[in-house]
Amino acid sequence: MHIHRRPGWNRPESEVTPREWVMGRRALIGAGAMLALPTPGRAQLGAVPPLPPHTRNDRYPAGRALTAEREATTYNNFYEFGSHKGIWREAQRMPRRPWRLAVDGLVETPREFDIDELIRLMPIEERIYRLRCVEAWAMTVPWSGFPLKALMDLVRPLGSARYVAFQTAALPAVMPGLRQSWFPWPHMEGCTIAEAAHELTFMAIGMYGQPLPAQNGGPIRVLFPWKYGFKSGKSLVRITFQEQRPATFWATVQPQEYGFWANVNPAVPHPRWSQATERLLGTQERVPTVIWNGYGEWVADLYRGLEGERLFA
Amino acid sequence: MRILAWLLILLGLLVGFVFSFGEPLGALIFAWDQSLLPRLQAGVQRYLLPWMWDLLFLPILERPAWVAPVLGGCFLFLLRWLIAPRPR
Repeated sequence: MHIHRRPGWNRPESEVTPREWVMGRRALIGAGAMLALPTPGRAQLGAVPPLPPHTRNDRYPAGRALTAEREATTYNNFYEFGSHKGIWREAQRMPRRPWRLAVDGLVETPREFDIDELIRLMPIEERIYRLRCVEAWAMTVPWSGFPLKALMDLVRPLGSARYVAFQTAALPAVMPGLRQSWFPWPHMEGCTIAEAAHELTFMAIGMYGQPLPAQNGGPIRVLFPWKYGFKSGKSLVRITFQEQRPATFWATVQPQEYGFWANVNPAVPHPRWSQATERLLGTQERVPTVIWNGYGEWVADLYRGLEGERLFA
Repeated sequence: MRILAWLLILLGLLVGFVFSFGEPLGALIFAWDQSLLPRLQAGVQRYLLPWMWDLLFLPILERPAWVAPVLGGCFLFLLRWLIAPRPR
């Protein structure tokens, strides 16, 4: 007999916030914007074209209710704008158009894309992913974007490419954090080629059906939902395929606290706090954290044979 | 106070000669302890006032490392001169 045992994170579909409710709320916010009320995700909307029509891919159930859009867009980490949670205000100064993304290194056809050209070329879809911050808070967001694999198929990495480096924009005029010249700017993140090609690895260009706000990594970011959030590089300007493991920002600045892999594991505490539970943005409910952030059935096999690595920091 | 002022000025000059006169204070602290500044910034911005880091701390950290002790020494000299008893 087939027994389906629902893991703790997998909440029934009935608890997911209906899309109509979210979209209805969006209409309300839109009306507010017409009255010149400030909303965090919309300040630059006039400069950024709307997302093309796309549908939701339900293959990866989030198992949690969506985080309220306002919570997800006003509680952010983006070190270039500061290390407090209200950086969304500063981030509004960052222009999201024009924007170019270079894809280079060990690939057959290096390309530099205009972001709107790239969006036209890619199969855009919506996915609901959980995002678990290393600081023990979490949110559940409907992201719009495309699998990184689709972009890899376009540029065709060479066999010698073993790692992928993600470079965040460095715009001193709008990013006060860059004044700290002693940090290794630009912000770099990275993964292995196998992680990059994994079906869960997603390039987000939007959230809640709208273009991605700057504070959430707009206009384009990468997402690894089974890793701590800092691995999901924001506001990307370059993706480089390379043979050497990239020196990533936090693993360089605080190597005793943050590593290259940073996969979610409740049993491996941060040196200064437990990772056993997480606080859900919005409800403030504290729930148990699940290994691989609940995506183990898809990603655990990626790490067979790598048990000697520091996989969970 | 005069001895402390001289010590601060000498410390500034020493830092300048040893680490170069262009080395920012923040870079020097970062080279000494990489985790100190990120933690300090997080503490200031999350638990005090977000703007305080950019307006108060960063201008000091961006200046060459020798500036702060030399200015501190000069300030002590000035203070001493201001509070010293004067002949009537």
